[in-house]
Formats: sequence, structure tokens, C-alpha cells
Amino acid sequence: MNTFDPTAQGVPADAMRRLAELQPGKPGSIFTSDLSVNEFLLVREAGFRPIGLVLGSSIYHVGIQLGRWGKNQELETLSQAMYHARELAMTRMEAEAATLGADGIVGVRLSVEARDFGADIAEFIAIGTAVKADHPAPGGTDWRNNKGQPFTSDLSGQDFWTLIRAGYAPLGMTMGTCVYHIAHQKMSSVFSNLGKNVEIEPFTQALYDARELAMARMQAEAEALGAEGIVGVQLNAHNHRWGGHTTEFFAIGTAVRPLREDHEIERPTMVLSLDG
Amino acid sequence: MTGAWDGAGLPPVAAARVAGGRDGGTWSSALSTGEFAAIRSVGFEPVGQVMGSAVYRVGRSGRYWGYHACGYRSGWSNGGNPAPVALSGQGAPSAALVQVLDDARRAALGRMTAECTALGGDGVVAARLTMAPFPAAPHCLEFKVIGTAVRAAGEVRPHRPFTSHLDGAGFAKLITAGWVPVGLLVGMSVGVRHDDYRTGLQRFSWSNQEVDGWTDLVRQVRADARAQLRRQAADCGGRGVILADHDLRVWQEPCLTRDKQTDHITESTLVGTAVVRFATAPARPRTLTVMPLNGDGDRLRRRLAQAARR
Repeated sequence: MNTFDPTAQGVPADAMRRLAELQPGKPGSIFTSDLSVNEFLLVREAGFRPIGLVLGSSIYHVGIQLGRWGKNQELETLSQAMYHARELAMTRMEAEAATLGADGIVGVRLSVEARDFGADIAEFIAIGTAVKADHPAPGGTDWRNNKGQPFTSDLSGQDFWTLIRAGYAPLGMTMGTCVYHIAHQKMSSVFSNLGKNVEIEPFTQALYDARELAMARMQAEAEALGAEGIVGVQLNAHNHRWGGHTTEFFAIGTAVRPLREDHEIERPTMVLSLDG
Repeated sequence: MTGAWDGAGLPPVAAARVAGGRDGGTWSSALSTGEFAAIRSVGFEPVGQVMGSAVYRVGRSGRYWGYHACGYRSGWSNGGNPAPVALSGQGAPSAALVQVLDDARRAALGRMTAECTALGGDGVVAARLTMAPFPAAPHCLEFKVIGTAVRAAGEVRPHRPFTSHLDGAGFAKLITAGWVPVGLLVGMSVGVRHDDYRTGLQRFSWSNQEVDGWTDLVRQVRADARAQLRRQAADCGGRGVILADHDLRVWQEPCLTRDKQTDHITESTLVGTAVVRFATAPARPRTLTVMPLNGDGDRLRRRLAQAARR
């Protein structure tokens, strides 16, 4: 059982003494972190120090896309816009972290915000906390990835801790996107299926094609980083503002590499919490 | 009822309430049972709920204020150069607006810490800062901050009570790991940029384009807000900042200097708590990995919340 008594150890008194000794206005390096307290403490325990909040953004105007109404097809202009704008935001965030001398960025969130700029304009933001390792990676390797950039990961502080403890290191976030137009049904097929509950194969196929394209692009990015695998993959379908038959499939995950041969973490303790 | 109040110190009723709380010894708090237990576990006692409030007139409209003057003086095409960004942090007219908001927040925070001191507290946890329109008058805003004052066991008292947005559990974890909150900070910046010829071209282009002028506007305003936050952290002696919240608003206004043209305005606000390490922290208990045998709904809820954030 835990018999740690903070008052007997003088913890609150120490904390108050530190506050009493504060020297306002003393220049020094100040870190900013948008991690929660839990994440902040776990990242520290995994052997990393937060050094600053980093972000990159791009206000992007999406061009005009011409497509055929009755054909399943990828809308390349839109795919490219979604990809290019996100990449701009990510690259700028990485550049900020590199300037701070960071080894990596954890807790990255990529989002698309419709700001009050106009209908076809959106802000693409990447935001995360830059961290620096206390020690070089096992085997004397660098924490940065094979492009000499800080690693990026959208894992929470908790997931990051678990990953490092299990003997893996993040390399970078990998993403793939595909904006796809799903064909409208032809009149003839609408009539032949009227009132029947049947599968509409062209629709199913369109979803498969679009997902496959997004996943394959993410895979290719991970291979370029020399990753062993991708963890925490999320595959989301967004219907931004392009009408009913257009969908964006967006795949994103964190590419990882092994740090050591065994990937054991100590056996977790079973707990049964009594509060539900 | 009490007499008129001149704005110095606490309003009479608050002073009376605090004095009563001090004598009576019964404290109130908005802490949940879990938070209360967490705070007790690191050697702190709640001493009462404290608040601070200030109603300020913040006029945003009218030429008199002119806070959204973009400072654009050149011709329509500007010789191909991008329009500059007028930043509050660099002495643009909007600096006055940021200053007023800052003063109002400081007044509210100051009254809260005054209540905390009067109750014999060493700091305030779970402080929530809100800004809401005051219903009785136009252009008036109420700045309110409310939290729970706590007192440390032992004989050492800080010169000034700390303030923090962290809830009871977060505060307890921080203390356990050897960090202590210093103060609640708000970094804010307003930037104004004239929509120039180039912006218009990019805006109505047929192809995919980054609107680099606007990207620059948003980048500069965010950078300025972060710089303000860092400066405030240094002013209060903090070593790091844990962010609570960040917010960015963008809107369009007719230009004050050029007829029939527009400006875009961006306002960025960052709220966080400055923290500092106290040296003689006890050895950190190693984090223990556990596998809950119940509550499997938690993970699903977390995932759903994460998906909603994206």
C-alpha cells in the first residue's frame, strides 16, 4: 500500500517555499505545452521534456473541379488541395520545431477549420507540443527521422508513453487522402430497382476505390520514412462542402520504428475500480 | 445595506462574506468529492470558494475606437508588395483594445486573489475565467473568474496566492510530480490586414492556391499571442505554461481608410497556467500500467470524443 504522506514529507511547504522564492522577470527558457496534465507528466516520465507549443497553418483556396455527373471518379483537384494544404501546415509546424531544436512533436492535431474568409477557403492547422529527449535513442541513434526532421506523432501523451516503453519510436505522421465523386444512378437502374432492397454495386465499389486510394497513399508515405508499421490509424470520411455525392476519405496514422529487439512492457496490474 | 464603493479592494458585500467565512470556519467549494480527496492527498486543504468580477465598458464599434485601422496607405496594387499586418503587440491601434481586455481580466483575477488572501488561502485551483455581455448596458462586458481557494499544510506562505485553471486532480498530479502552479495567464493579440490586389486574385482563382496574405495574418497574430503569453510567464517567474484553451476568430470589416475595400481581422486568445518546478520533489512514483476489469465504455467514449475533435 502507498504510505507516502505528503505533509510529513513537507511537500506542500516545499511548493509554497518555491513560490515565495520566485524571481519575476528573470529571463530564461519558458516552455508552453498544450498537453493535459496527465500527458505532460507521462511525456516527462518517458524521458522527454516539452519545449514549446508549435503550430503551422495555411489558409487555402480550393480551386474549381470539373467532374462527370454519372461517373465514379477521383476529383484530383480537390484531393490535391486537401493534401497540399495539410502538407504546408505540417511542414511549417516541423520547421518551427526544428528551429527550437526539438527531437519530435507529440500530440499533433490536424484540423480543417472553415474561417470567416469565404465559401471555398479553409484554414488547415497542425498543432502539437515539441519535445526534446533527455538521452539519445537506444543504440546511439538520433530521435529524428531519416529526413533529419523532428518526428511527429498524433498519439496522445498516454499512447506515446506506452509506445516508447514497448520499445518503439515514432517516425512521423503519415497521411493519405482521396476526394471521390460517387456516380448518380442512371434512370434505367433506378427504375429496375424500384421498391427492391438490393445492393447498389456502383456505390459500394466507389467507397472501396476511394478508401483504397487513401490507404495506399498513406502506406507509400510510411515506406518513404522506412517505417516498420503504422499505428493509431484513423480512417475518416468527411463530407466537407462539396455536395451530396462527394466524399473525402482521409487516412492518418503514426509510422513507427523499433528501438530494440524485445517489445515487452511489464505485465499490467489488473484493477477493478469500485466507482463503476 | 452597505454604502457606496470606490473600486478599491473588495466590494463591501464580498468583504463581509469573506470575513464571515474566516470567523465561521465552514467553507464552501465547487470541488467534486474526487477533486477534494485529491487535493487533501497532497497536503492542501480547501478554504472556500472565491470569485472576482469586473464590469468594463469595451466599445468595439464606431470610428472613435478605430481599433481595426489596417494602416494601409498605398495604392490598389501596392507595387506587388503584400499589405502589412497591423499587430496589437507592435503598437497598432488595436493595442488599446487588448490593453482594456487585459486590465479587466487582471481586475477580476486581483479581486479573486484578494478574497483568497482574506480567507487565509495560498492559492486558487479550478479557476474558470469567463467573459460575457453585461445585459443591462450596451458594450459592457462582465469578466468573471471563480475558483476554490486552498491552503498548504506547513508554515511557509507564498507572497502572492497562485492561480490555476487545473482541476483538483490535475493540481494534485502536478504537485506529486514536483511542479507547482504560479498563475493563470491570458495572452491575446489582434491583427488587421488590408485585403489587397493579390489577395483578391488568389481568392477568385480557378486553381488550388494558398492565400498567403491571410496565412501570414493568422500566423503573425498567433505568434504574437504566444509571445504575450511567454512574456507574462516570465513576468510571474514561471518556467513553463500548460495551456487550457486557445481560440481564434476571424472576421471582415469595411476598411477605414479606403472606401469600398475590406480588411480582415484576426483575434487570438490563449489561456494557460504558468508552472514552476520545486527542487526537493519526492521521488516520483513510477506510473503503473493497469488493465481495468470494468469501465470498458471509457475507451469507446474517449475514441468518440477524439473523433468529434477532428
